[in-house]
Amino acid sequence: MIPYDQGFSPPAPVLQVTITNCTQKRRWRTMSALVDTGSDISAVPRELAHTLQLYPVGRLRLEDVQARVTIALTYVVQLTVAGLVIPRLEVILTGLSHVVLGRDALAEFCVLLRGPEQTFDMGATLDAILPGFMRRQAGSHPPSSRACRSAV
Amino acid sequence: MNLNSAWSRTAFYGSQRREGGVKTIVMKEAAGGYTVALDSFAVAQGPMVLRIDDSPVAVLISPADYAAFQAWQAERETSGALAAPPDFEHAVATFERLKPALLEQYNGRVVAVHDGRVVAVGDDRMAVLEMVTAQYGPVPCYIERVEPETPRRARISSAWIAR
Repeated sequence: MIPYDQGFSPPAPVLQVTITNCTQKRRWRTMSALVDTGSDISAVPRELAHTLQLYPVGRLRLEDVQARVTIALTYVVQLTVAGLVIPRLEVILTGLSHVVLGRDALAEFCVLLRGPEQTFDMGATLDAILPGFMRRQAGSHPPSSRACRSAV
Repeated sequence: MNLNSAWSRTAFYGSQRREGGVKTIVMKEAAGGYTVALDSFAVAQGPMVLRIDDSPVAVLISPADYAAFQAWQAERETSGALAAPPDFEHAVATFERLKPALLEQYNGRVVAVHDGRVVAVGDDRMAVLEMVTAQYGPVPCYIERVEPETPRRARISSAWIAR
């Protein structure tokens, strides 16, 4: 169970991830990552391109919320999150200080958001996150009307 | 409009003409003091190039355009835009040049362009990158799926990309 990051308004699911250069494994950085189901693609802070010596491999036509389309370069990193390693993940760079986990990365995970409790779980399989959830549900008495009733 | 302060070390006179749709003033050295009459309305219509003989030395733009340029520059610095390395740009240019032929030969597939040619073909972007790395090491390359519209589109949830 991971508490939402209260630094976001409203609070958001954030967890620690490790970003590594795919070809130079000694170049890595652990930092916070926002779970963002609204993004098609994941993103890393611009500074990582320098510190990890990342090199562009592709381009994207990015459409933002204002329907503006811009061309962005893509880079490839290794992502380690919740005990799972994605050896090659194509990402873009942002001016943010945290990683953004878009649906391309989230497709590899099971994510359980408990909005009313402002906590979440994330793992490679449902088994990895459900037992703890079920135990907590069984132990809660009386059940909150706003609590998650069912995991699936 | 007087350009005395900017051109005080050399005396010039200017004559206006139009080159490729851009207003151009060709500057010539003159014995007397330097004064160029410019039509501020004309400057407001678009950039005006100042040339000395054949060399462009300055571009005059309207205050509104300059303010827009400054805003763009500030936004670019804030977003931390990174320029693409020249060899990557070269690979992109090669892809665009070869694209008509690639569409005939590899339509729908993923190619890697390196050193002016296609060096790997596959169906998955990361698998193709792995093929390149295995064969050539970590070399600059451009990975792209061969489709009529490239690069592919992606949506993001906010406007924080570093272009």
